Amino acid sequence: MSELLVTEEISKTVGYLKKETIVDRVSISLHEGEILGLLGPNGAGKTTTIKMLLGLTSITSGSARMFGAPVPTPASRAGVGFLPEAIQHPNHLTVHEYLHFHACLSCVSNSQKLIDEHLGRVGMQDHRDRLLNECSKGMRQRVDIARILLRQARLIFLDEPFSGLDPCGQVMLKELLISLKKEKIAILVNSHAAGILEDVCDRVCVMNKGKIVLSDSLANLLKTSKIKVVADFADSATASEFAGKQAPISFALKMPTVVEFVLDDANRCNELAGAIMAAGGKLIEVSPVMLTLDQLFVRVLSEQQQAKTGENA
Amino acid sequence: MLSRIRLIMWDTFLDVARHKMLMIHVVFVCISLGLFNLFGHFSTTPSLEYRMIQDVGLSVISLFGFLIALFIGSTTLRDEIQRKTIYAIFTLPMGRWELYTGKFLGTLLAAVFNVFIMLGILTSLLYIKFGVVWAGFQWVGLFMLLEFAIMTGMVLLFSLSDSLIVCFSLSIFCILLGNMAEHVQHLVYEANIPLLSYVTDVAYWIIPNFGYFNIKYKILKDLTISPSFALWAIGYAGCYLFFLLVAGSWALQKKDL
Repeated sequence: MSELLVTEEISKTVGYLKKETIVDRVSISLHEGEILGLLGPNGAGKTTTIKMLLGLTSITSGSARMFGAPVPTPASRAGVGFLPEAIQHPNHLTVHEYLHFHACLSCVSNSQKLIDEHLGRVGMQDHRDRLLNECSKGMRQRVDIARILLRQARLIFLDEPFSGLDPCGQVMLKELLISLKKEKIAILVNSHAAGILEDVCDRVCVMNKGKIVLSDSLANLLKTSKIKVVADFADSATASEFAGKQAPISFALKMPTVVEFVLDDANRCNELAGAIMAAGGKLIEVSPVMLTLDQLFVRVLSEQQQAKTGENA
Repeated sequence: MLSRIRLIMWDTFLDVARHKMLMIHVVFVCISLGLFNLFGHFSTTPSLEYRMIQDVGLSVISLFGFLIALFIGSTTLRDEIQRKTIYAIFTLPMGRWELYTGKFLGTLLAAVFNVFIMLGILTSLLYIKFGVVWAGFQWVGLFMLLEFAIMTGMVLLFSLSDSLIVCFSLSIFCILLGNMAEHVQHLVYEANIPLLSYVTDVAYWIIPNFGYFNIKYKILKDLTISPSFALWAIGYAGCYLFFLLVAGSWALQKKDL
């Protein structure tokens, strides 16, 4: 997979008299067909990072390249699409006029056919002649995605794309992102919607106070050393009696006859499985316990907070 | 590149024309019609009435032109930045100067079109009431267009500042000073303060001298405008507009969004 985006310790400092670093030595890379999630609390520097990469704001130090060209040269933005957060569209244009304007700016040939094709892809083909100010937020979001697709962008930046969308809109967007990934399009998503990022991202970077505090593949980030063992017993009395005898292993009765055990030590897995079968129970599931992205996010932030409190003390 | 600039210019012109200018035209027409009826009662002779309407009409156009320049110039680019619509354009592989040039030309076109419409309304009403074609119409039109083009370009440049108050303050200061440039310079020379004279000289060369475009008194006294003076004014305005365009493109290039 070729590398479409690579940054080397980019930083952004603002202020004249009192300097403040809002992005601190951020290094990320993105390959084709990969979805990278940027997760972090408000003011973590996620949007500023995207703005720096797109040349909307200057990079104070460090360097970045997109498609091999240094940022912020126009060549670095040749195959880039951007969906800003809370964009307000020109109200005097219809959906079609808006897309046609951007198609002309991007020098897209055969734009009429492509506009119809991409409007169909985002489910907006019946609204092509509707004024943008008559469209709902979700519809305008779809139009903007059509705008990006129209440019045949190979690298897409999405800033809080799920905010303000209803559940149907969120599902549509999620499915669209997955289909774009299959077309080898690289996507960088900045969002607070950890649950959705978990479904679509290959890798996640957690940012806090301008720094990347955690970065890895989603599978590596969410896995834990714990093992979940689920067993089904003949009756509820056997299930309760067996579970009670396994202390200190934690358990939960999921159904009257189904018990879920969580092992801290994976080496005890075989031992527990043997005991279940000896008691006449059936093993339903043995799997590693995974964190949710929300849990990981909260844990990382609280660890950061604790570390800072410790330093201050 | 040129097609992109043309596209942005046309879109800007339509955006401004569709939303903001129509109301101003209507207000102007209402005021003009009101003036015609009002001066009909006060003037003793038709020629005096004609002069009065010309004089007041041109003053009203000057005032509206100034307000339009201030309004259009301060909102066009600023609104796009605040609405973030500009982000979608800036992420295209094009220079910011292309966008600024398109916006600059579109805004100028809108301002010029507006003044042309207002002058057209005044001239038409004069013709309808007095049956006389206003001979100096083309000169007034030309000089006013140049004046308002510079004003709009200047406000557009100042609209790149972070605060709308700064934009308005700088614009009004420069427009007022530009209209009184020669008087201020004369006063300072009379006062004979070397440092102030130096500052005034610098300001005189930086701030546009709108006095070159004020030909109202010549028109009202039926004085002729020499072609060489018109050429000088066009050249001056062209140079100044080019300077404003370069300065604005540079400022937008350096601006963190």
